Amino acid sequence: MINQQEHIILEDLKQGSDKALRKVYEENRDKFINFARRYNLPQDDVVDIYQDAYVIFYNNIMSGKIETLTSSISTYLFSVGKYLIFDKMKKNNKKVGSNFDLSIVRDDDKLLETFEIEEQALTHEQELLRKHFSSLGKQCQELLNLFYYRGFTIKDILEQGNYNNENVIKSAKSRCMKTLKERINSN
Amino acid sequence: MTNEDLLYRYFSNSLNEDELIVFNKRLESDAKFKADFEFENNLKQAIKKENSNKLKEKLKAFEADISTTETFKKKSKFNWRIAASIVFFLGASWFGYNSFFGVNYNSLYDANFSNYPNTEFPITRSDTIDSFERKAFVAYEAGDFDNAISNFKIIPIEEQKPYQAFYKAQAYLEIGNLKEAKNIFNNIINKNSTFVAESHWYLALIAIKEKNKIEATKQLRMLTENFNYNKSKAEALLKELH
Repeated sequence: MINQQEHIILEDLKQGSDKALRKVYEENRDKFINFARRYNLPQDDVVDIYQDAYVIFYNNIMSGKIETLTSSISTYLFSVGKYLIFDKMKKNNKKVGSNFDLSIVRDDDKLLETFEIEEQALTHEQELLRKHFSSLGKQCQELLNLFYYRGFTIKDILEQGNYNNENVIKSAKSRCMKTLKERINSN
Repeated sequence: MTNEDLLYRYFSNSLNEDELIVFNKRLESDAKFKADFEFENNLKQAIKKENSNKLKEKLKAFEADISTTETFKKKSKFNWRIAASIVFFLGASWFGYNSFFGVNYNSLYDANFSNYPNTEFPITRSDTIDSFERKAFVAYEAGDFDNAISNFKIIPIEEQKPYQAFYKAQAYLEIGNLKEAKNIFNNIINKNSTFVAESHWYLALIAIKEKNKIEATKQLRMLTENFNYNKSKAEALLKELH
């Protein structure tokens, strides 16, 4: 139903292609800014919201929440963006027109129901983990990323070809977790 | 199943229903398991945040590139006279081209036309009701505009929404039925329905395609004077036309 090109782009994004990342960003940016004009927000805020919507969309692809597209990429970005605009306006106590409300409710109910939208601020402990995670070696960061951000199974990781067998992956993960815990405890 | 296995299966989204029950029970009864789970879950959030931060930085860099290009474009326009006087023959041949052929309407249309994305009707696979509206938007997104039009036409009155007309007009535009598209866009403007600014824009593009400079100018002026939608593009087009 969605054109073939979009499926290819989705696969490229999943592979971590920077080219696809930029292409999607640029292709939808002006459309989004134009569309958001009706809500009278400053352009800087609109760009910021667009970027946040993009981050959420991307995180949902990477974590496997979006496996295949059921709408075009633009529609996903616009739906998340609308949700964020609505949220921002609500926080600013701005009045929201009836026309606006209607489309938000629709999005909320349907496209976004499988989405993780809330990007919550980290707790103290999570912030500490983030700091120590980013101090780990590249290999550990990549491996833990596959387990916890991408939700990969050991088999998925094996298929990527960087490890010889499942036991190597398991022990590499144990070592990374041990290092992380040690660094946190010595904090 | 060991605690470690259960956690592994949870974070790789591979727990089945029975395992999920075991998982939840153990979370309540086993303090060590709960602590381990919380540690890993916190780690997951931390890694996600780290990825989000990195991505946001990347997007800001894209944005900086775009702003630089836009400023550069503006600067180039400013320096046009100087550039043209230096490369005089280039300027002269450009002038010659324009005097002989006038405005190239087709290329103006092609450079500015892109169909409006579906921002109103999210399509999900889980939709249980396959309404005509859904069928219309599925066809629209798939580029099957004839089919989209047929479905837009038969949406029952009680399910009709103001934005549907705009998308029907888009579909007509795509199949080259400018007359129908024009009627609908004009109707949207007359009724002051949704997508009024956008309708002026598309009416201007239709006029350009029809080489009707007066109508194109009228629509573009209405747009730039009353709305913000595509304002800079409309202003650029007005300059090109005159």
